[in-house]
Amino acid sequence: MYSDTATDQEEKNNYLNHSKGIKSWLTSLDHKRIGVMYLFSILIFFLIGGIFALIVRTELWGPTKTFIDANTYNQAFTYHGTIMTFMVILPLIPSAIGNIILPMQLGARDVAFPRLNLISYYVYMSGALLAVITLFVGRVDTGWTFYTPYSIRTGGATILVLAGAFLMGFAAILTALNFIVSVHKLRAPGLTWTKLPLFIWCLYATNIIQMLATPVIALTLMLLTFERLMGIGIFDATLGGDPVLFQHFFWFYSHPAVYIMILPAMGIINEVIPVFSRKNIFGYGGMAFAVFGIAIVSFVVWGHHMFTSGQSETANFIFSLITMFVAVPTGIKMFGWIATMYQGSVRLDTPMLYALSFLFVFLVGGLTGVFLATLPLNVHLTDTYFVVAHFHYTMVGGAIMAFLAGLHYWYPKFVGKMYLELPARIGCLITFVGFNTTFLPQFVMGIRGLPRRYYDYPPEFTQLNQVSTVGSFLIALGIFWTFLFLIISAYKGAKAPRNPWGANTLEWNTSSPPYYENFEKQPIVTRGPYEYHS
Amino acid sequence: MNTNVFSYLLPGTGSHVASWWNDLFSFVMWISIFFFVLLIGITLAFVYKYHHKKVDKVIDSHGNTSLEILWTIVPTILVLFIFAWGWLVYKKMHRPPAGSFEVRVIGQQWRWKFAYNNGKNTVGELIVPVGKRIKLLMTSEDVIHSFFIPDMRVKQDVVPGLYTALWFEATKPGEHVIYCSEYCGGLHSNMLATLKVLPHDEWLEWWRKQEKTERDLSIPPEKRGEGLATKYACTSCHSVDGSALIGPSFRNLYGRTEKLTSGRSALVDEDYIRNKILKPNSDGVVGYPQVMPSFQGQISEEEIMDIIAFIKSLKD
Repeated sequence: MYSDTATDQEEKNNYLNHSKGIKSWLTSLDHKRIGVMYLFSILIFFLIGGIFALIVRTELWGPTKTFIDANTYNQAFTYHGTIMTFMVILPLIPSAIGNIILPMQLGARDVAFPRLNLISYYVYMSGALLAVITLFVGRVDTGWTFYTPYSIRTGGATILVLAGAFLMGFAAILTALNFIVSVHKLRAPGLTWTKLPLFIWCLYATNIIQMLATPVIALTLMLLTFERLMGIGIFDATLGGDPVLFQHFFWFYSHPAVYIMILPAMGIINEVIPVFSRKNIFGYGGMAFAVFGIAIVSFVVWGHHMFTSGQSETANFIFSLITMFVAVPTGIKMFGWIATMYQGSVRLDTPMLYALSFLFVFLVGGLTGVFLATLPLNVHLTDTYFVVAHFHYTMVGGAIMAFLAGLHYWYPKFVGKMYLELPARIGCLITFVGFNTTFLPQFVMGIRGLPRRYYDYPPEFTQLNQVSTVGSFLIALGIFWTFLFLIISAYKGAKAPRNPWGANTLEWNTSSPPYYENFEKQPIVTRGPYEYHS
Repeated sequence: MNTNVFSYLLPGTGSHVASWWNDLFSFVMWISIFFFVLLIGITLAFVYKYHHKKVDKVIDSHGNTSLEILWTIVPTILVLFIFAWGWLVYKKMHRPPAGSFEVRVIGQQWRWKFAYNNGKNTVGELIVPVGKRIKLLMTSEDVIHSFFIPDMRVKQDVVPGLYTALWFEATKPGEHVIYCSEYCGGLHSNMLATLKVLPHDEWLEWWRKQEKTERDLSIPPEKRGEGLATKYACTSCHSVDGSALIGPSFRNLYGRTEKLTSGRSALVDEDYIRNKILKPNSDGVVGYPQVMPSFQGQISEEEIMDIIAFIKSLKD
């Protein structure tokens, strides 16, 4: 067993009551408080991005104008995409949950550079606020992908949004650096690399991608800014530039970016399934290597977003072939999670329900990825609703379901109270049903040829669109319900014990909520993170 | 074409290539369904069989190397097979055969223009004979668009500054929708065209018919103007019923006073309309995006007069 270091002293001096007042939060160097600030900020942006989703889906209730004009619609889907990718899904699990959990799982007192951690939060917030301000000043209608030449010519506050994304990218780079150094330098005695929780391995791989890829988007957005401001002629065909070059630069980051979004999510699933199966993870080594396999391959497949862009057949051949290989390590992880449950003892508490939902939706997302990797199929399916459905299944189904699994799993630790179980399960069910109702019809719309980012559509697509819109409101209901009861639980929930789930990782070794310095006595590790029987 | 068990999902099948596409699609679909049912089925079975209320003792394990090797190798082989089949279909689908009949395509916000080898031009409809291999040579006048014919399963981005190509061969007469499938602002979702596949004789008749270069003097000017407003796609941005699309509506436009971005106000008379057609964005109307293309060199003075007559006729 880990040396049991939770004491009454820890509970009396936890991170929530250690100091009071808003200033103590805003200037806190405590990774847990910083993580909570990230969490609340990101959830507010999630709400805003979600409202834009509902605006888009409501407009799409009918084949022609429902309540807004085409320009407003184009802005709505641009803000939905930009907010959800840059401000929500990219930072959500690493900067919010990762910040709170990583140092504790390492048995450390904090991250390696606590001041840098706080700075990262403020850099992120300034970027986010810059982007949000454009809602009131000029607006943007380029789509979150900012393709040239349209993004060079269109009016509006494009440059402000680019600057916002630039800053948020920097925050990610700084946090990634912080985490990598923490993992190398701050592991507790006995916590060898092969005993690291897989959540840490997944965050580590994510951090490497963040450090290597994010500078590329920063430079790309900077070049686009110069193009708009000064007409340097790098992407503008009328000045001798190459519009397709922008796509190469953009996707060189944005493809690895989707793995920044999903690897931390997989990290959470790696924690939840063994705990709620009371069994060791199947093939720890394979699970860790698969994550690095995915991370490395993610850098050399960006061209699969560009099969119809005009790039060469040779490029198409290479990118399609390598993209196929991503399916293999991803499959290894899926099979491993399922095999972990074999001969285990499965509990269906809410974190596990979300993990099982994740398996379902991520499988759909992953299999549809194979369709898109297949060259001729991609030619027909790209830029249609099939792609929209694919990435929502992986990003929303994947990352958000995993986030909700983690949120409920660690809720007792963060808050010191148990969440109310029955309402939480109902929230999971509504969200799961709503999610599939929204996005399953979109696969059909796409195969039948309906392009994406369409304000008007041919009337024969009306029924499918209406089912999808109903689904989107169900998701909204599910999310509101879930968060309403999480807030109620903070007041009405039972007091949480130190380790309600009987897990093995070090964050369960401190009080709930954690002692403000995590551990009064340095914990010492003697066994693996998922060994419950020996 | 071929009846396919997934035909509920598919659009029309207008060519042999589309039919090969359907076969590959069906294969990937069956593999996906197989793995989906297998994995979800096993998961649900495990959740049921190993539910904690039924389980006395957990049989712990670290993994099983042979199983891991198996489920690494089998998926690798499967995806390589799918890749290879895909590459073979792609080669046939992507490389225009020699001797194809060429049509030039120009994408422009927000309409498709087609130029044929004998000097004919069409806007919004691509007219081809059945059973002939058609090669489209495409470019854009402004931003990136994408030319997509779902029934033929072909799509290619249309990029300013370079030519891209696609080819297809329609196996039966009929009409097929063409979409723009790369977001291009404003009226992206209205940038549709129609592929009209005609039986050979009918097509030949169309091909040989001279474009009417004479104005039809037997109809009033506003009627000629109405036809021109469609031909030059004015009505894709300017409505005739008063609703605001991308540009001001033509209804009640004549005689109105418009506020311009320079600050001055202008009376919409014949001169104003002519100026806007030839130099649209020299001083734009407040509240509207400055995106109107110029028709300088494309439209004659008589055609401008007919369009003005049409606009004047649209008053309440």
